[in-house]
Amino acid sequence: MKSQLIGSQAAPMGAVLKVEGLRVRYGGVTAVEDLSLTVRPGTCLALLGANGAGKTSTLRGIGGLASATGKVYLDDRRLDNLSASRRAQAGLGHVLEGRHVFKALTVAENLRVAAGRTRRPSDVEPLELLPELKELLNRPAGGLSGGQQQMLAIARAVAGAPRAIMLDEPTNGLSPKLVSRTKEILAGLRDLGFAVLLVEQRLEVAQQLGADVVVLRHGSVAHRLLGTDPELPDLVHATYLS
Amino acid sequence: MTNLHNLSGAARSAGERLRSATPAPLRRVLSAPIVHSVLIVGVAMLLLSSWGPQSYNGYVLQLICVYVVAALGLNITTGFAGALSLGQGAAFAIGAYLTAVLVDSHGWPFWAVLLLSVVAGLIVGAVTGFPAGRLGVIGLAMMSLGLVLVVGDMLVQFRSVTGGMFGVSGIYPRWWFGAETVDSLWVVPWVIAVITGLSYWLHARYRTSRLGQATVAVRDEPIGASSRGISGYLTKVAAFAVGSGLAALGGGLFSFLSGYISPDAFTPNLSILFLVMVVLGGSGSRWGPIVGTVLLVVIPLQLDDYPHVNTIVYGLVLIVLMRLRPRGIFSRSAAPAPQGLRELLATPPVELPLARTVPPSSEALLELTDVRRSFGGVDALGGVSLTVAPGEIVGLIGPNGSGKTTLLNVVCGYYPPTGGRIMLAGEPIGGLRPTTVAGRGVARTFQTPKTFVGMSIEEHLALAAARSDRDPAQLQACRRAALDLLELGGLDPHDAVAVTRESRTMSHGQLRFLEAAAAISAAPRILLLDEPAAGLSATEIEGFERVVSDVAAAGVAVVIVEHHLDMISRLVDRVVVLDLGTVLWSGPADQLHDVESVRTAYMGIV
Repeated sequence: MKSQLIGSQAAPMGAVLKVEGLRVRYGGVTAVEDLSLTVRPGTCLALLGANGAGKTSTLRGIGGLASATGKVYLDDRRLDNLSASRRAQAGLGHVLEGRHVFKALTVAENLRVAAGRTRRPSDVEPLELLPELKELLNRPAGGLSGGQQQMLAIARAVAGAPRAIMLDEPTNGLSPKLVSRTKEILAGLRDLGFAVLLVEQRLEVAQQLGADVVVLRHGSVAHRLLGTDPELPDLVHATYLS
Repeated sequence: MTNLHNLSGAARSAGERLRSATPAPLRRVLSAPIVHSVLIVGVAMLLLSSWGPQSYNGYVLQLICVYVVAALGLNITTGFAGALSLGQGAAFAIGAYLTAVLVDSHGWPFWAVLLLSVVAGLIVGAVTGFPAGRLGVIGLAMMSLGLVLVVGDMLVQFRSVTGGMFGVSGIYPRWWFGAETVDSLWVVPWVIAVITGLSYWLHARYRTSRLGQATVAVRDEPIGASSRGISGYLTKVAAFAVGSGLAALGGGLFSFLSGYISPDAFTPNLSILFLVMVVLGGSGSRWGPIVGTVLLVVIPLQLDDYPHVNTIVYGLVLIVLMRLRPRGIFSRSAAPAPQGLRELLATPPVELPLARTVPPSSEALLELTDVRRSFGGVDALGGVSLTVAPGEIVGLIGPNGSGKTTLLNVVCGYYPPTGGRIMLAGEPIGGLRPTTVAGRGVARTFQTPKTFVGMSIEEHLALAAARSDRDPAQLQACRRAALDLLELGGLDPHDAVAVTRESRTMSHGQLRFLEAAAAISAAPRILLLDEPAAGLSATEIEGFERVVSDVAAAGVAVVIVEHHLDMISRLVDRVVVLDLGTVLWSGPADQLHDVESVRTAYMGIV
């Protein structure tokens, strides 16, 4: 049953992730200012921008891991007054920068912990999406290679029955082979009907996914355009240099 | 160099705006420890003279000063070195009793007993600190707690010396051995005020000294510190010794202040109180211990009139303060360290572009022969041989888990090789400790930047200060390269306020630039970069390439682990492909795509 879901278009599990007027501050420093965006089910939105432009802060603000003001909706449900764990339970998956797998637990335990925190079962079996993890189930996550940990981090987010998924630089530190594999997985997540919000430095990932692109500069939106837009590379380049 | 999106263009906190508005000379004067010390002594003396030495307020002020001395000491141990000590009261008690006994029974002058107290405190601290490098935080806390219990019991049991439960009385100051006690009531208050100021100065200087910087670096990131040649063990022992020395000095002053001491004053609660003073005020900050001490002495005294609720209110105040300021009232841990950056900025520009030529006959700088490393029977490295010449850039690529990072870790000394030979400039370095290897001129960066959260940009650069035996031209090139990297990462080295920002506020990519800049500014002979381009944009990667190529042109050997093949093909002289812990292929980058085994193992193209 579940395996049939993979590849089907816009299954009902997805929800619209909507952010209005997001502002993230660390101490006295503003990292993100008045940011609004919408990610629809079955689509992917990529945040691009130079280092320190506020991409990770945006995800952390939406996910409740950084102190933020502004509204966050998943379909009609307000999330911004919830804690990070409640937001995750409400269906907001977050694959953090740096993976953050539970190193002392096995792969299977990592997935079980994530699944155990949600009220409804996941619509997608993580191991169907990431069959490469099947042979690693009894290995401690800390002993996996960086690439395997990244796959586990994605699988763990899927196990948590999300309706929208945020991923922070999922291709970071992966070999070209695994970058291609990650692109497949991201496309799979999108086609399963999740709303996918992606932070990425590799332009080609956004382009190949046909993602909507938001380019950030100094914590604000500099440009919004389609990933397929032929002007994208030049525009991104210009934004980084300005 | 193109200046990208720098910090000064981004938003600033209120404190930073205030600091940038202050003229630079005034800022320097206001941040000098000696100025603060004079201020502390001045204020204390002024208040004491208006209240009088025998007044209640005068007593409270002196008590605060005495506790401040001990709390400043604990700030060195726990704040700077990160070693949780529950035993500050033990050194305090030892200082107090040493003073009391020598003054009362042997007629010692106050300056001599205070000096001896410091020495005793140093010794006790060093002895406690010796296991510090080996024990974890909790183990050390237990051990220091044990010390408090032992000392507390000894004070009661060794009745013939300590007077048991009755304690020691008649502790009055003298100027000389066996002389009459001093009549004036002002000697003790003055001594206390001056020593408090001196202790503050010592504590602030400790933090800005090389030892202090090393101490904080080890606290924040021990592995990163060792890669910069800083050994953790001595910093912890020194912090324990100096911290206990100040505690014992505070104890000595406490004896003179009270005139009579008994074991009641030195319960384990006192050690907890010192710890709370430091944590509440801001562990590792300059002013935190002072503010914490003032609050924790004054608040309970103010609540004395309400005996039924005083403990409850006191506890609630602590909870609320910690909730509002989790890292303490003063949370800034970074200290000024302008010297390293000043040297960098004084470096004249290098003529660019340098022509990059690898002398064809040059001897290998780094030579690995059949290097092996296994973890519990699994061969992470199964016999790797490779050489790197000065000025050469070697790219190390391979699938995730193929042993690239393990190879760097073996070279740097984090894992001793289980077989094979590693030579650096003709000398074996296999199995040496990371600090020793770093001292031989091996610098590296890590996949996840190992920077120090509680240190500023300028402190990172001060830590990496280059050794003096480097070739001047190479040093100059490396320093310029470091500056270029900072600017590339948006960390403007000319912005006097931005460079004092703690690295905890920076993004992952900025930390990557900071770590690389610090590694390069030390003018290493060989630079090992572990995925430097991960998470960087295409523009940033190009800038990074230019810098690495400049450094290599100056004669530094570079090994770069990377997955960005376009970067590898543009930058490196030679590619080494690792797979399953062995060298799969080695050769020029432009032939990489023609090798079938590489394509299947690494790129996933058949």
